[in-house]
Amino acid sequence: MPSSSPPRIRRRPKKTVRLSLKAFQSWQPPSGRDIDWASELPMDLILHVFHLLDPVELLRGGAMGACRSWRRATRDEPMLWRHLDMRGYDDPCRRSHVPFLVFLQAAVRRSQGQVEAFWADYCDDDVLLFLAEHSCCHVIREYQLKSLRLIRCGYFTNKGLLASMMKFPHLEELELSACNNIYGQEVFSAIAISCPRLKHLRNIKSFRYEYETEDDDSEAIAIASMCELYSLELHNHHPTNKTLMTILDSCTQLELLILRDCPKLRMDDTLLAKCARVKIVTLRGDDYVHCKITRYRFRPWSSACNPLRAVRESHWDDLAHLVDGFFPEDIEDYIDYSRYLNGVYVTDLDDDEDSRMLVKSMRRYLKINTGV
Amino acid sequence: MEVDKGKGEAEETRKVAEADRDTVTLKSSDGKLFEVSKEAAARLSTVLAGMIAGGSIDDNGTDLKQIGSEALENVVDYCNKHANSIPSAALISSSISFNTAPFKEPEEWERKFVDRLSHDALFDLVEAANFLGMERLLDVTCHKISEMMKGKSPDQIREVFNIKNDYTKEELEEIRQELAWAFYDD
Repeated sequence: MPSSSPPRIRRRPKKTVRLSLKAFQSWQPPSGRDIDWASELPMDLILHVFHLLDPVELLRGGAMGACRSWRRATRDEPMLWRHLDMRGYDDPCRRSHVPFLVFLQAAVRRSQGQVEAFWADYCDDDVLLFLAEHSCCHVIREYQLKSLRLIRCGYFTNKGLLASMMKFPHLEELELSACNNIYGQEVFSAIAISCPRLKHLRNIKSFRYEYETEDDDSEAIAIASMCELYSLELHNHHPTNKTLMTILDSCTQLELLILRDCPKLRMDDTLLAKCARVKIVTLRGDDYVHCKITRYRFRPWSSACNPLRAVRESHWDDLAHLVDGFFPEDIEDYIDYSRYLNGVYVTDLDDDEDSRMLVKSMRRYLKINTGV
Repeated sequence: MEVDKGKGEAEETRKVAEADRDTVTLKSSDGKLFEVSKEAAARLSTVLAGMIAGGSIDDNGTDLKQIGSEALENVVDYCNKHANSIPSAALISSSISFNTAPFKEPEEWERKFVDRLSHDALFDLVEAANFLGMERLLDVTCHKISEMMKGKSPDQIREVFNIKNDYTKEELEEIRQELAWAFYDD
């Protein structure tokens, strides 16, 4: 009997030790020095932090609702609202049943007419018209917008663009990606006239328009009048060799040229010589088989997209980081892989293991399915 | 004899100092010494670059009275790690293409570097980066703080950042209504 009692005594202290350790652990981290970030962090640092939050996050009001000084900072600091990157925020808006426009109104109001960049997806004519009306600075009475990137805006139409573009005279960057209701010479002529300072143009069409006749390269002809362009990227456009020559002749400052799936281009020596002036030229698609580009490199794009591209030698490394992320990831898969699996592309592959595996599996797939 | 010996020693220390020229010694507010490569310090901090150029670097430890030893250790650690890392392609921006967002995302090692910090250490590091004019470190630490704010309600933010609620009841009601249209109506 006496021998069994000591263990009981030993067990008890063990338990109490464990409890106190737990209490200690849970007590230590929050206590620290008890810094009240709102009152102790200088305002310029708080603004720096807020600057890194996107407009949607700021409008959600977490930081704004925390205390008076932070609320004042978000409301009275137009700097925070100059760069409105609202891409990918369609879903949270919908979840709270707030129309995108209401949301934009709140952001633009806080910017006090100083919005310099607006990037968004899934917006429509009303959004653009609102922005056009309100991007005029109250103080210097000038339209401010410099960068406009619209992605997958199916409800954005020619009419909306023609009505809003004239309010963006300082525009330097314009992206219209998978905006399928923006097309035609009229639109590109209007852009050329309204935005004389345009330096970067990206127009990605997610498919070729059926209405366009074989000879229709009027859009590309209109683009040739944008003389200040530094970079130009066109997908599913119809420039002929002659029109591309015109573009290269008139846009003397062009440094980056990306053309993808432009069916009427036939790369020949004359055109190549013309392109030599441009720093980076990328051509993608099956239409450049005749092109005397010295080396082809293969790189998986994304599972949905064309994995092949041709790049003029030596520019690859410069280009890689520029091009990645150029294209909205989920543009419809409109490319037929089988077109790329014959001829030079596949035989002249680089040493990328993954790429080779992908091609192998694609070949196998084609063999099984088409008997190629 | 003794004088000669002293001269020799002085010369020797001078030689050592000359050899050590590629590092700078920094002294924290509580008197601890830290060494950092001169090149990295000048590249990453505008203030240290100015001090190095202006010759106001003290070989026995340049006094940084505003920065505690823990924060200074993190600063030095960051400088050393930065010196060893190769900037990724994303960080080498190009003027040719579209402008990217004003802020470049932190790299993997930078993310890890700030993730391991406690709240207090993060607070001190932001202030130290600001004081020393270290733009990138300031961006990375502020990015971490902004991440801590994301998706949180006012109450949660007050808790995380230990902020006293200085609103009156009426103001709170006003804010609640102001935010009701936005996101916290569910």
